[in-house]
Amino acid sequence: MKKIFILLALVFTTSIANAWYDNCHEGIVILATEHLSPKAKSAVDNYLGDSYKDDIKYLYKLEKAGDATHTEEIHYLHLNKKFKPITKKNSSKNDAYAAINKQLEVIKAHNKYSKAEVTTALRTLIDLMCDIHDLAHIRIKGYPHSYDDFIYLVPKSEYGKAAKKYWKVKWSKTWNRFGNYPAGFSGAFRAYDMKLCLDGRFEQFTKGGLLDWIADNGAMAASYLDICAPEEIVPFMVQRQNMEDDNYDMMIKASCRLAKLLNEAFK
Amino acid sequence: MKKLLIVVVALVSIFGVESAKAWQNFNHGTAAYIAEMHLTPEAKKKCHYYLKHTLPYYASWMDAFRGSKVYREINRTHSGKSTANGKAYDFQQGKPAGGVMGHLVSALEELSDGKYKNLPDSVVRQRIINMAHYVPDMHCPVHIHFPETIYPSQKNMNMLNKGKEISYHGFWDGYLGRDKRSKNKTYEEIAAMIDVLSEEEIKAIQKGTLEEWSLDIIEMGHRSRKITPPGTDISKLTQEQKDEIFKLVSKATLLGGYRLAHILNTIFAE
Repeated sequence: MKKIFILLALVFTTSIANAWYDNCHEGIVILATEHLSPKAKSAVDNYLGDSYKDDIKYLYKLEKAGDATHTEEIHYLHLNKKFKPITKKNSSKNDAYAAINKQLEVIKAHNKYSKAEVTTALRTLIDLMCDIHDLAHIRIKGYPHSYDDFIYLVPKSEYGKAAKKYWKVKWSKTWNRFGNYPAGFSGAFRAYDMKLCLDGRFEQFTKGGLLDWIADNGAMAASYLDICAPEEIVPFMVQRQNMEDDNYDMMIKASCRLAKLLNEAFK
Repeated sequence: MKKLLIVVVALVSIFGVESAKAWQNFNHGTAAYIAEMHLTPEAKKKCHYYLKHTLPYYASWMDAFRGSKVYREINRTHSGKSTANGKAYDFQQGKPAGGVMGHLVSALEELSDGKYKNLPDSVVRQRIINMAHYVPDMHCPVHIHFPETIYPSQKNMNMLNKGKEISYHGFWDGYLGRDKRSKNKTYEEIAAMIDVLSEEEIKAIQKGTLEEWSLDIIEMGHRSRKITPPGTDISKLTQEQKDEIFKLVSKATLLGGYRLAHILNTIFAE
């Protein structure tokens, strides 16, 4: 058990450049291991057990190395207005939805693939399950195509003496930082805290399947674009508390849903 | 474009004003972590019931939200002041004269003797969140203000970093996160380094009234001002000075953590 958690935690740090921060990824994986069936635990240990050190930053390394098989698109979900993936399940396009399905095919038919192929699929799946629960990685038709297109200038008067004159903010980076708050948590303590927050909602969070979860995530992303209207400036802190809570729930959902996928794949 | 402005405004106020945060995230997180580790099982169970999180999760909530117009009232409740002679906390008829300790007393009156059971969960939750911040904050050496007849006001106590002026308050507030012994460490790692007192020593720290506790705060406040008088260049600090600063902020963090645990253990013993 402990071995699995360490391996998964290390593997999960692959996506630090893509979504949320280290201790969140570790927390997600550690909590997921607590919901794995004995069979899934054993299988994950088998596939990730020996070679993880070479691939700790698997996707990140691919991206940095300019690997032609890896594109940034793999980290993003593209949804229509009904929050369904625009990409087909078996599309050759390499976005997160298509990529998750590809990994699941390999993992479910693990006996037909080499150990290296299954290991790679597991690493990628873990990474992408995190990505699709990060609202900054969800792009919805009809909404701003890329959150990173926006840079905001916020006047000093809003924040008093301590603030700089202007703030330049990128949506994805600021949203991702929610996941790192509080910054001093270790992965293990984050998982402990997440478990308290989960509070018996595992069944609720894992109801349905991948498409249901994607729709849930898409609705969440869209809601923040809808409810945060300029006229709501005065109560904006109330919204912020919701954002913190919702972001934390998204991490917990990623954890629970990852566990469910792995349990199903290794039945 | 405008749709997202408010979201970003909110986000910036959490993360952007990091430098202005009192006692900084690392001190608060570590103190709350230490408190969490010293809760009785009963108090821990009740705190987790109300918070759905651990104490360190909410350790800096009051700082994160202090810039909000909605919560403007909490903006001035992070520190306290001494008496005119600088020898004690400003208590009047046994009660602190406002400030962080005044709000702590209000919270205690509202929750103690089992009264928390009659309050809505949301109220108890908010009180715990606030106390998780107040108690460590009031132990911060620069969160006690002395009359200007004793020391200059903190805005006139600037220090230097390679000749450039830096805030005295900011230096002390954030030192635990900058010292090489604790930099980039988790709350657990910092706590493992400093939370090494015996049970007897911890009990001695937790013993006493708020007024008695405040004497430690006064002493630490004086000490900080003596270690780094105005104009101190931090780039020229000796190792001995750094050790002394680290020792003082560690002590303040520990006292805040132990006493927060004691307060919550007492409230939730009922």
